[in-house]
Amino acid sequence: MRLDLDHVSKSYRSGWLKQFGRPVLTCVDLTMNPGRTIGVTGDSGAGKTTLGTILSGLLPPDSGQLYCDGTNYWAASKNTRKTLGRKLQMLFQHPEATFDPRWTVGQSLGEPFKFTGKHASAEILQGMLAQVELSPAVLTRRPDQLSGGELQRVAIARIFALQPEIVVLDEPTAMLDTLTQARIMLLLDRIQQLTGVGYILISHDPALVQRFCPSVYHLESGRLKKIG
Amino acid sequence: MPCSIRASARGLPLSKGRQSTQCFWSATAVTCLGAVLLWQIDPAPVNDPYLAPSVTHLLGTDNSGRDVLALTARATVISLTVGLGAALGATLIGALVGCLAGYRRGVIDTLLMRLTDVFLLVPTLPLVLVLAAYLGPGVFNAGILIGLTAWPSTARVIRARVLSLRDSPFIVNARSMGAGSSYLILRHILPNCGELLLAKASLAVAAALLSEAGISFLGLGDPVRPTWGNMLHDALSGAALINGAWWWFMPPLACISSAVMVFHLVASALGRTRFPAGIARRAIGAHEPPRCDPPHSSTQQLEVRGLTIGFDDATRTEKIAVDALDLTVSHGDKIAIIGATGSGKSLLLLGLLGLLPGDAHVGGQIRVEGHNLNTLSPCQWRRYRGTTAGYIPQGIGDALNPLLPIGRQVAERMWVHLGISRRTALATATDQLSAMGFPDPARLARSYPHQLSGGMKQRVLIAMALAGQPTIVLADEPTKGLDPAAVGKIGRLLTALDQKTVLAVTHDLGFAQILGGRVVVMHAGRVVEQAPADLFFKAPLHPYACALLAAQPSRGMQISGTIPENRKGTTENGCSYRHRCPLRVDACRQRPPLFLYGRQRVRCWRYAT
Repeated sequence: MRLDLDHVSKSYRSGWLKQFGRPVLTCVDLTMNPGRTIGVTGDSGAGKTTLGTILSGLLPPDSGQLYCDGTNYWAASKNTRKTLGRKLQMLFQHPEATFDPRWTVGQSLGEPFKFTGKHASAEILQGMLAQVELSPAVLTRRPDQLSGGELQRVAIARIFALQPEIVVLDEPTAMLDTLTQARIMLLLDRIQQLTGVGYILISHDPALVQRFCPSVYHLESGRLKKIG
Repeated sequence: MPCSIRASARGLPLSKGRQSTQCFWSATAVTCLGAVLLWQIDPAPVNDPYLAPSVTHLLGTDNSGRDVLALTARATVISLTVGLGAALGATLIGALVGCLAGYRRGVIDTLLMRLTDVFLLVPTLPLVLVLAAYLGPGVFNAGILIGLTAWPSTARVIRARVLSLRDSPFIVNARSMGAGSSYLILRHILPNCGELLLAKASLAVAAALLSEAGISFLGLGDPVRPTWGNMLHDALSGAALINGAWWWFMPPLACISSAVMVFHLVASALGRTRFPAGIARRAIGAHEPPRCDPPHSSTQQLEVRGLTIGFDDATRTEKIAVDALDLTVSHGDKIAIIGATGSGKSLLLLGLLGLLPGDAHVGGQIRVEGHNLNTLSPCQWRRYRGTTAGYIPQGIGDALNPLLPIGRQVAERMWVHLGISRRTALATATDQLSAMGFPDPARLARSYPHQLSGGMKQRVLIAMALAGQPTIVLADEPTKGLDPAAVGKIGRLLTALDQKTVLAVTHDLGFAQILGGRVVVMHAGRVVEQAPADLFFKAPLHPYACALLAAQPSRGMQISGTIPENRKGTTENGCSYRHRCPLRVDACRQRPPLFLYGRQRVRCWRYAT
């Protein structure tokens, strides 16, 4: 899927208050070709996560458009948006917060199948876990019994159950040590080679972005510029 | 070395919540069963009026010769039915309104909340009285009226909870996977409001019982069906007070007060499970008997001997998070503690502060400047935390109070612990901020946390930690989420504190390098390597430390070791890293001690001498 951002601006003040608020994003343009990997760096508070949520279609921009394969996402019908939205996923920074604390890992992992109408058998779930190198024993555990690295793997397995075409990685390893970080990034890389998914990696660590992404953008005071 | 003391086994907060929920339902079942039994007793008027309590009539009779005990039994059934029914209705309406308003927001939220405000504004009891007079007396009319007027407080509480849940990542995530609103509300949001709803329902029962008693007491209840309020009304109009027939009005009074009390207690029990913050945090070693240690004449500032921290996991087997840890720190040392998530780094810091979670089992000994921390009283702990140890918490987002200006937050610790006036403290706080490299500290002291960037907030947190003039600074991930320039600034700031000891837990190897000093590598609760930073970053010894360094993005992100990190077998013997170690040999089945290798210490058999 090709993704285009066209003159996107966003501010968190609404109505007449907007004139007092500092815009988080100003006139951001970005083009993402299918199967590519682009990186976005920026200081904390620069609006990286806001950009990520806009790119994954979770947050409507104040002005400007988001195009998926030429379709205007926010002008499309609700059904089209739902189909497109499934192809656009986001991997969050805090894996422990993206799981319902009352559900077992198995229940959470089977959740995407509820929306695609397929049945998630135990074998499918175990196969998903094997893809991310986890043992089937974690299926019956609750999120607070898994380490950050393990939870992030489960989150990755859950996202790829929907067969997305673009995944926004919002600081996927900020909470992890370098070794676990390298393992997660390697796993993401392998999945990309298997499925041809496109990644948008958002991180405050320039070294990681340089290493992982052929093209790098920097976000500063609401503006995005290409730096490599 | 003192043996480790096991605290009494405690359950996890989640299972506690389940227990309370079970309690609630079993109490309801018992009540229903009791109601059926009580209903069998018939309070027909067959006796003389105004009989005092006797063996045949345990609570005497009323003015028309009905047995008061039988009457109370029947009244109990009717009152509780009305109370529970009204509370159920109120909770259902409240949950519905709260969910809709919190989830939909916008116009629906505004309209529903204004409606709620109107209901909260109108005094409920007079409204119910007027409506009851209009609809005519009747116990079920009263129940419906109470149910219709008691929902607003539930609606407001549920709305607040839904508002915070609706933007939490797991909901956003489910929405991005294609979940619809009704699915989100029924499967994710309502279950996570469960205990709150039950607690509110329990309070609503108590309120409904009181309202019903009030209405009936004023004579607007059902004259045919006895309720507690009705009995009081009859007793008053039947001149029980004048005749001294206490047996007539005391039973319903006792029933009302005890029922209201029980439902309030249930609500508060449920409320505690909802907010685990209520679970007391316990000081390390609080369960150990105080021992009379001879004063330790050591020049070391901080000595940790055999510190062991364990938790019961879900299967009640103990999981060791920190395993017999020894650490010696001299004055002015700068120590970076690195290792994977869950290797016990943060617990070590919390242990040094005496802020371990209440269900932790703690053993071993910590000495700070010769004083044994195990023997401190809670008051001494507070002083120690205020003045000797300064803590820089993790999380730049929520570690500062958003409602107080920066200067006040920095100064607070000074006037509490150093005994100086507020004015002096505020002036000193400004100096402290300028020492943190802020160009305009006076203006900064007047600004609020939301006006600061992440790096600035982190420096403010350091200023706060230093405000109590601590000799030891404990930092938990002080550079998380910061860009490299800010990391460098913070690293240099901490390095410049010559007189103070710094212990920083971090994932950021770049930061550990800037901090200089010593590097401590932890793996699965054990220290696997301790080395001066310059040596460590040139030539790490332990295979795990080598892997950590090689996996840095700037060094090519190489991965050594094969099996991914799984459940950590901390209680087993042998080297904790041996399952993933590319260099493992047979000797690794035995637990290696810390070997001295040049100026480095390493827990690996390859360096056995």
